[in-house]
Amino acid sequence: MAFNILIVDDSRSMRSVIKKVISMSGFKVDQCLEAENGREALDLLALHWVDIILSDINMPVMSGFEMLEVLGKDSLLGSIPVVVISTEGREERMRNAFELGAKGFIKKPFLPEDIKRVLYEVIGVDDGEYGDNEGDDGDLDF
Amino acid sequence: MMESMETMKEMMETSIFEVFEKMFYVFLEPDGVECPDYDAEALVSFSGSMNGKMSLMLSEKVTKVMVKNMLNLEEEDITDREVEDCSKEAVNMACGNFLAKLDDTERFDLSIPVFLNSPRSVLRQGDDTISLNLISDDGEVGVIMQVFSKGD
Repeated sequence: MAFNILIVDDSRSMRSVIKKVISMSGFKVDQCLEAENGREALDLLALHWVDIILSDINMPVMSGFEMLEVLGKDSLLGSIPVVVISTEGREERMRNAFELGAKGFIKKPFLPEDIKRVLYEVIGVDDGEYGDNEGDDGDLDF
Repeated sequence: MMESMETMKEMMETSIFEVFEKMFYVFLEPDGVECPDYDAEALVSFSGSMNGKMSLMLSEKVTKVMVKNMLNLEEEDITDREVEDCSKEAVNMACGNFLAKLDDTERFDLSIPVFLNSPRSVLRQGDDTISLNLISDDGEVGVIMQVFSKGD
């Protein structure tokens, strides 16, 4: 099964790194969409279905929390799992994210393995179902 | 809770090392020499139980290595936009990481980072600042953090 993924981060570099880590994790990606903020993400979601969203919190125009609030009010879009990837890894911020419906939280700076682990947890299938994990010793190198 | 400036300096150093090692594969160490002129600066403000600003100053050499390592690009493919983007992301992560170490239960809000092409930081060193001069084989990094209690 291939997944459609949406990465939301105002840093183009960070979006590139996340995209690369996902592809190296062995996830079969059909379409990888990118947005610079929550507003752009919602515009993309009006046109495309995605299976998982990875989003920063602190972004101009619309933050990740504001986007989570909007998604939570929509019965269809609210069913898409959201993983927050943020520098703001304090307990209180993580609790806020989960209260708003986030399914996972990755703190920046992260190791590639952190993203892989949370994606597997959130999507909820075994590594074997993704097929082409090279060697799959759990370690990823950039 | 306001930690001593010395404790905050140690936390800041740990945070910077963690960000540069994990995200940019740049291994820094403290440098005793006086802060040289830098080529770029990324600045972020924070507010919460205490307010402040963190400035990350970078030599051109280290910014190129950061971009190269983070994005796996060849040096000739690196643009100013990528240098700016990586520098802003670095200060954002360093500040967020530092604040989490300072007090994991306290709420702090971070501003959107800004990037400046300046040889000297816009922050001036004084009693309310913590500064670090760091060096690696890949170039120099300077950090100045200004902190003030709420209401200052």
